Amino acid sequence: MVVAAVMVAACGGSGDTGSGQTPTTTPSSGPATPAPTPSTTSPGSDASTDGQVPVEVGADPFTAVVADLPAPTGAPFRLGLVNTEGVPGLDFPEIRTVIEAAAAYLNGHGGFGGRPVELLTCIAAGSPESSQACAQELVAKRVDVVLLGFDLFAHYPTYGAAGVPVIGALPILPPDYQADALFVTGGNLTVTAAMAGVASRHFAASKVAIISADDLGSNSTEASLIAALNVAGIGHVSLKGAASETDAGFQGLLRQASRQGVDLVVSLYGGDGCLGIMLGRVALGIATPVLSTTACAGDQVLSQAGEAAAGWTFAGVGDDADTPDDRLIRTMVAAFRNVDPGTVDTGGLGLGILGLIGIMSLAKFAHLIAEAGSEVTGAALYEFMGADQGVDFWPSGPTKMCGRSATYPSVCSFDFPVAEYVVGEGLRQLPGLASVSALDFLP
Amino acid sequence: MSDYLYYALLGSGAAAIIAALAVGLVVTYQGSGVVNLAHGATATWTAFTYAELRRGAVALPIPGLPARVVLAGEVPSWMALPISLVVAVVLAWVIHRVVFRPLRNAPPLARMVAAVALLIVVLSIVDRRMADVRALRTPHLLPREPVTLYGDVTVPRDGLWLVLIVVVMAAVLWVWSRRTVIGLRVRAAAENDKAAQMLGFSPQRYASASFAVAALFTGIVAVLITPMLQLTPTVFSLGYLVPALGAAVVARLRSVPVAVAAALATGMAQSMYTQAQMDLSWLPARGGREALPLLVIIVAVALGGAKVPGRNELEVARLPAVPATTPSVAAVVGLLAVGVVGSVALGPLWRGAVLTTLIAAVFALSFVVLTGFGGQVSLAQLAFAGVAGFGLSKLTTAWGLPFPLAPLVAAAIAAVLGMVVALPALRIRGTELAIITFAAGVAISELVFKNPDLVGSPDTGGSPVPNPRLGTWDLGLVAGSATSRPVFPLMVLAVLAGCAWFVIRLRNSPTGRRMLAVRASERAATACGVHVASVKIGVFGVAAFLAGLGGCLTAYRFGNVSDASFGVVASLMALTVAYLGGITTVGGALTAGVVAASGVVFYGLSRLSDSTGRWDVTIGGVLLIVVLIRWPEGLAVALGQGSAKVRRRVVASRRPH
Repeated sequence: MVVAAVMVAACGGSGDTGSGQTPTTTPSSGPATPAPTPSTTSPGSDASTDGQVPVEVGADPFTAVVADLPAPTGAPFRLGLVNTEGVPGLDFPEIRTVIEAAAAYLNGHGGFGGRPVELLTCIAAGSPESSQACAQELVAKRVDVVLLGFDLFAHYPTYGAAGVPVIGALPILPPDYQADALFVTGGNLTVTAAMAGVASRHFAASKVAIISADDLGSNSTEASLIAALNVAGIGHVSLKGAASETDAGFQGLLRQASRQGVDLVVSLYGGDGCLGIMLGRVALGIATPVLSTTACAGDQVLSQAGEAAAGWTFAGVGDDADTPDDRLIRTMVAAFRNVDPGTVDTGGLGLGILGLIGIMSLAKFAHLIAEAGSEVTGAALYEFMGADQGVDFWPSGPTKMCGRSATYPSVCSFDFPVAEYVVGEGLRQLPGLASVSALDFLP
Repeated sequence: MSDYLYYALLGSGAAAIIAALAVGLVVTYQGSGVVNLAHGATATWTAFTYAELRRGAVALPIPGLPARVVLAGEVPSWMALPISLVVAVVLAWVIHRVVFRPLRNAPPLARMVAAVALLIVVLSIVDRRMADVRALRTPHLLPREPVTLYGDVTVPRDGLWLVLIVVVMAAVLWVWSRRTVIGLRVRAAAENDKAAQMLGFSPQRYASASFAVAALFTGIVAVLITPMLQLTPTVFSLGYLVPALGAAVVARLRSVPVAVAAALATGMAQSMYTQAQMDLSWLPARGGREALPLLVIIVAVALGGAKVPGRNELEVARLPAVPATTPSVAAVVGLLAVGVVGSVALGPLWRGAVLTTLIAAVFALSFVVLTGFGGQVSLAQLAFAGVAGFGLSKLTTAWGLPFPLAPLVAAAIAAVLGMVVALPALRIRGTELAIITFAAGVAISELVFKNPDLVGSPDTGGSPVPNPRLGTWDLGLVAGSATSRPVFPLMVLAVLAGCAWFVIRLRNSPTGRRMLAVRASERAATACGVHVASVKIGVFGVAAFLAGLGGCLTAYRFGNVSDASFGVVASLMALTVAYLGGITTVGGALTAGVVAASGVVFYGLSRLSDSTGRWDVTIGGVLLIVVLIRWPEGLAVALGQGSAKVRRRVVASRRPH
């Protein structure tokens, strides 16, 4: 279920009505950024190396111990949070509320390595001015670490000058990738590299057609994909559609793509276009497989598409098992909302899952730092996250590999599962593609 | 050739909604003189209302009430369609009565600014209320089985049906406007509302009716197209509105048939781009689909424009006066002192608000020159600023140009672009010019700001801009371990003071007087020997240079350039703020900076209320409309009138009884 939740988070699904699609992680109509999903653990083995406690398969070692940790008693750990809310098209309160739920839970269960978490939130308005103001505000409040929820224009120079470590949930715009910060997930850049890997190794493609909207977010993603395809030695042809296309318009793009003699079609359209492309492909009888992102793998798209989704493969989508990590998420959120855990739909947490990965990963790292007898500080957390000691992000991965790419030093994870849609079965993880690394194909 | 026919026909659905929006814009303008930029947003609300009814719910737009009322079951389409159209008509009627009727005697630019505020309000309401239904589909209303028209040209027939419906409705509307008494009265009121009033007609009643008719026309098409696309809050508000505006301008905001033809051609041309981008390698890889039809429209309208000023010249003349004042030494020292104190003595957050105010004032000064002095209208000013900002990044990082040469060169590039965009202004004016510059701004956004090769990619870290330095003196906002250095706002203050001094001098110079002459009457200016064309181009160039300086200051402030600071919406907001402050004077520009979003007033209010409510944007838009209705010539004029009134009372009280 965590996988599904992350998937929906990347799609931006609200999940509360079952009919909608929620904000994408880019400010445009470009593809949503799939968050790296937890690696699938082989039955009977514990792939993690960072815990001593035997844990249930599919559970993060921290999940197994956090419930038994005592309430923290040390000096408060001042965790700054920047999130964008209240702006049409840029409204992600779910990130803040889920982080607040996790902070509340942690303050009864170990905190950050024995220090209670004091959450200091600044709401950005999706403008450079507001992001800079948030940076100034949090620096003035002397936070130990800044956690970026969804902040389009994080002002890294301010944080850097003040010596405040910055840890982000998701890199969004180009400056994020080379910032003096660490990101839990890899953003569009890494998912497109993973897509190039899938095109090369799974589809053995020599030429692909890229269908995408002609807007800034999609153009940036397309540029990343083209660069990754070049690394993979795969030719391409680009087809640009409008940000808002009719079904007929999507048919036109697909028809053009099918005429280019390609082995694979890569769709970078977000939720707005997924259904139109799926229906258009069926209407035209095109058999060429389509590779897309989690943006097209949400329940709402697939339920409307039905059999039209057959032949589609999705980067960033894993299995759908219920795990102890899911149960912990439900416990945290239910306690915060004062509802029964059984009523919490992890798939309905939207982008909040990204924030949850961020704060719980920090709690996990803080726990390990404290266990090692070191002091839990902002700098120590940042250093631990940036170092390569074989510890994965919560929950149960993905593998933490900060700085593995010299070109994109802020990115910390590069692995993606890949699934395909099978009629009658739904999403099925592809053999050998449980964890596709983007590293080999990064431009 | 059949390929292009295929794609043209595939684009019929999109072309139909563009045509419907264009007709709505023309009808509204004819009836009321308002270019209703919120027209698409009201169509979006209509479509969402229909979709919600089909799902068994009623959406409520009023803040404080629940988002929707759930009904006992789904509402059938034969019932949902008329209900949603009634909602559209009522909404449009209310918008006219509440927003535009009170502004009927205000300058046309005030009405356009109100339309921008209304767009913000309706867009935010749709977004708030429909946040969970972004990918909504409804069952088909029109037949969609494929039809083979010629060879292998087989397309879904729903788009063709929609085009037919639009053409028939437009024909009915056209005949109605020419053959019925009411239609003739509406046209008469559009030509001369005062004369119509003297004949006993009520122009405002017809204006309300035109809003309602436009909403009905577009609402029908918006509902019918809902099954053909994913319904999103911005789909009609922005996506299809821009080409519709272009088509409306081709029709001179007068002719429904021309608007329909231009819109259908635009929509189908955009669809044909899918084939063209394969056949023509020289086409731009990014942005061409949206930008090229706009560029064609701009050129066509510019070439087809009349050299002789028409009715729209009078519109500009109704702008507030431009007093030839020279500020007193005390006023200058006082303002500079306030700026210095704000830059040095306040904390980082207030300093940030002061910075926003100072830079917004520079942008507003560009509007003072362009509109206040020159009588020209541009909705592309921040696009020029963006070109300068991104240019500054290239000039400093790639070419190593030092400060202050780099920002001056970047602003000069913006000035050249401004003069190019000015070319249509030689033949068109007023509202048409506003829309054409809006299209130009969109084209710049499409071709420049959407292109990662120009604006930076992840491997370049975007478009970084190093701190400004004079020798070893770092003038940046952030340097070393200092996160908010006063030296940067002081530098911005100096730039603003220099720009303000320049604008004041310009107003009082022969060049400024030539600008004012052109603003007052192009015919009279020509008769007096003023070369109108060179004055207009000069006005655009100077204004774009000032906007470019503002763009460079923005880039220096953040250390990285973002299109978010310079997009089309930012341009609309900048004009709105500039007008609100007072678009004809330096004092108005400074007032605009004070009331700009994230400026000192907004920051102060946020400190008082500490509000992060979900309705802030909506409330802000409503307040903007209220202020416009109360003071339609801007706050600076209102403040001036207020202070004059106080002075008169003081003088009167000192007189011996």
